[in-house]
Parts: sequence; structure tokens; C-alpha cells
Amino acid sequence: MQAMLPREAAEDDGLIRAAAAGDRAAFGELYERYARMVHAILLVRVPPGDAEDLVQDVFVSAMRQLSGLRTEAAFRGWLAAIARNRARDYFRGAHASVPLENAARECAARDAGPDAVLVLGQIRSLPEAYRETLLMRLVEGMTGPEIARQTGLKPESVRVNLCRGMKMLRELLGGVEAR
Amino acid sequence: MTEDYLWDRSGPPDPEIENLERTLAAVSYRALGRPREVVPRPARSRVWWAVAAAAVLGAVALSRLTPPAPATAWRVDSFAGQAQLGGQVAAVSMSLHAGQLVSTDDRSEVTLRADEFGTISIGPDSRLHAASNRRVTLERGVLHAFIWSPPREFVVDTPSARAVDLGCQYTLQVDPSGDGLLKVSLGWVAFQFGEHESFIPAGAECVTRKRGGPGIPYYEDAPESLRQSLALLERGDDAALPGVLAAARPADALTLWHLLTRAAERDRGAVFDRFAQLVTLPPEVTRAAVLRRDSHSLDLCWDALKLENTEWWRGWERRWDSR
Repeated sequence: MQAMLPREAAEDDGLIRAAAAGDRAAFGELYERYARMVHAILLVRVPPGDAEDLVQDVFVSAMRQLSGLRTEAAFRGWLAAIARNRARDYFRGAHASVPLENAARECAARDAGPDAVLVLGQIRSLPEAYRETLLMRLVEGMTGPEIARQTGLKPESVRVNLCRGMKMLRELLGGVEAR
Repeated sequence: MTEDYLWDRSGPPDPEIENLERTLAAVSYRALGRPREVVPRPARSRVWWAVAAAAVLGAVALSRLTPPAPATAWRVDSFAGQAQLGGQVAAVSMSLHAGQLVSTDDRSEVTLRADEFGTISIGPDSRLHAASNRRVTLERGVLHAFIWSPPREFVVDTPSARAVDLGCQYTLQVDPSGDGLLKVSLGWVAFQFGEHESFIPAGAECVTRKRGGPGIPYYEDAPESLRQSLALLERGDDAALPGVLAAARPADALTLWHLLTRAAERDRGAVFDRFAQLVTLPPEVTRAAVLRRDSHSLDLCWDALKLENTEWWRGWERRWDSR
């Protein structure tokens, strides 16, 4: 576990401790800092509009369990795990439909061009290791160092995921052009 | 082409990545509310036309498979009279689905509850649309909200502004013209429309106008002369500003703080001078910095209001940064 700048790490750890002790404002700040990461993890798996709503569920779940977290360092991976679990639960319920169909509807509702539906679908077709980091970078606008800091991944791993994932995405989009 | 832009946006921008960022912006976590950089859209390359064409065909095909709108977390908790949900007479425990309309006539009311969000009561002669768990639109009428979800998670859109809950209890009225009034009884609400944004604490209220967005908040117990002058000022009568400044009490520095960024440029000096009489400013706040809307100085001015528990959410708002 690394890639955390000392000042930011200390700030986050302080917020995590305060939130675990019941400080709602500290939890709100954590929410602000980590919402994009959580949203990207959800967006890999569920339609955009629902992903936005599930961010709330993830943080509510986190808030309820935060007092049981043993170390501040575990927070990042733990939050990501809650997001992945929440996405899995989504398909156990009444949402066992193909997500991209909903994505088309959601993108239309957001006045997004149809390009977003296709590109999102192409990213979702990439190997799992690349999907989350690419969505954090391309959709949420996070930089590589930010992604490393928030996910707890090594910067080198994030860089590799981004570069390889982007290369594959370019090939997929090039294939669209060729057809 | 180096990978620096992909890594941390240093180095020369990669046009293809920029294109992807623009394309995917529509599915980003919008609720962060941070204004995105506006970049002129360049001419699209062939690949993007191909992508668009393929996606149009795909979207048309997929739209035929789109399932019905899902139920939101909101359910009818109680009602009086003939309230309707989605064209049906309301009944206790009935779910509100995304896109459905809740309507009441002049003798009916309905209260909705979502365990993870709170309760919203809709008064007589009201129309409310549900967009999702966390977003509803009050077209007209009265809505009373008591929200316990984390701050910023629940928003009410109106024809003239968006009310963003910051952990609170409030009443929102929208008249048939689309103008509105927000009264906060507990906690805070942010009232937003475009670049206009007002922060309303408990005990304060704020009007909103359909083409003007949220106005300047004021405390309900503010002197009548302040309220009258403020109403004139908001209708474009700049000559009313001295009346606002003269009538302001120390608590009304809240109103003046909003005027620091919203008053006509030529008047901001007078606003600052009166503001500085009403609150104790730290020595590093200078008149010049505030008049040029320096965000740090405006933050310090806000802190001088001594309103509690706002530091964390002001951290993400701060729309004055981008002006």
C-alpha cells in the first residue's frame, strides 16, 4: 500500500477516524473525496442513472459499518469492496436485465450523445483490471496519481492499467471505424 | 505521443483522449456539482462519426427492450383527500416510480417516506415528479421536506432553482408562474440555478424567480425595512442598496455576504464596508481582495459569520472560484 502523499494521507486518516467516531461532517468530506471513485466502480457494472443512486447506498452502508473498521489504511479498499458488492446485489434484485439497455435510456435522458453508450460498452468489454481505472480517468476526470491514492493501488499498476486499457480501447474504436 | 496526458494531464493533450472525456462526461458523477471546463468542440474525426452512427442504430434497437421505470425508494406514508400517484388514487405503501407524477387537489395532501432519505409532504394544489430516489421536481405547490440522508444527497428541482439538502428540514413553495420561496427550519439548504447560488441556514428564507434563479437569503426576523429594500434591490432597483445596508443587523451579515458577489460591481465596496462593520474580519482580509472576489478572502468573510458546521460543504461548493 503506497502512493499516498503524506499530507493527503494524514488528512484522509484524520477524517476516517473522526467519521468512525460519529462525526457526520467528516463523513461528508470523505463522501466528497471518494464519490467519484465509487461511482466509477459502480459504472463498470450498472447503468449510469442507477450508478449515481447507488453511490448513496454505498456511503450509507459504509457509514453504518465504519465504526468497525480496524485501521484507517483499510478504508479505501473496503469502500471499493462495498461498491462492488452493492453492484452485485443490484443484479440479484429486480434489475437482472442487460445494463447497456438502461444505459441507452439514461444517456438519452441526460442529453448525452449516443457515443457515450457505445464507448461505455467498449470499456466494459475490456479485461476487468482496466475497466475501473479507465472509467476513473476518462469519465470521472481523476488523474493517475489520484486513482492510485484513492484505490490504494501502486502508481505503477495504475499507469500500466491505464496505458494497456487505453491501447485496447483505441483498437476497439478503430475497429468500429474500419467497419 | 507520450502518455503523460493520460497519466496526469501533463504534456500535450491527446485529441483522442480529449474526445473520449467529452463523450463520457454525460455519465460522470454529476452530483459533485463542480463546473466542468468548457472546451470548444473540435470537428469530429471519421471514427467519431462512425461511433455515433453505430450507436444510434444500437440505441434504437436497445430502446425497444427498455424495461419499465423502476420504483423509487419513496412510498406513500399517509394521505388525505384524493391525492394521486401516476394517475392512480394514492394508497398507503404505494411506491412512487421514476417519472411518475404526484398530484394533489385543493383538499388533498400526501406524505412520502423513504427510509434512507427522509419524508416529504406535499400540500394541496401541488404537482411533483419523481426522477429518482434522490431527485424530485416540484412543478408547483408546497413541499415540506425532512431529510436525514447524508447532506447533498437529496435535491428538489423547481422551475427556477434547485434546492440541495445539506441535512435539514425546509418548506418549499412554487407558485403557478414558477417563482418560489424556500424557508429553512433546521440545518441548511443550498439553492442553485446556473451560476447563482445561495446558502440558507435555519431561520432564513430565500425567494427564487423563474428567470433569475435564487435571490439573496435573509433571516425571517430581519427588519421590515431591510426586507423591503432587498425586494426592491432584487427587482433591479440599485438605489435600494443603501436601505439594505443601513437596516442590517450583525446577523444580517449573511445577506450582505451574498451581496459581496451578487451586487453590481460599483456597489460592492459599500457592501464590504458595511459587512466589515457588522462582523470581525481577520487582518488578512483586504477590501481589494474581496472586491476582486478572491475565493480565500470570501471564505474568510464567510467564516467571520460564525455559522457552524459549514466548512466541509463549502469546500466543494465555492462557485465563486470559477467566476
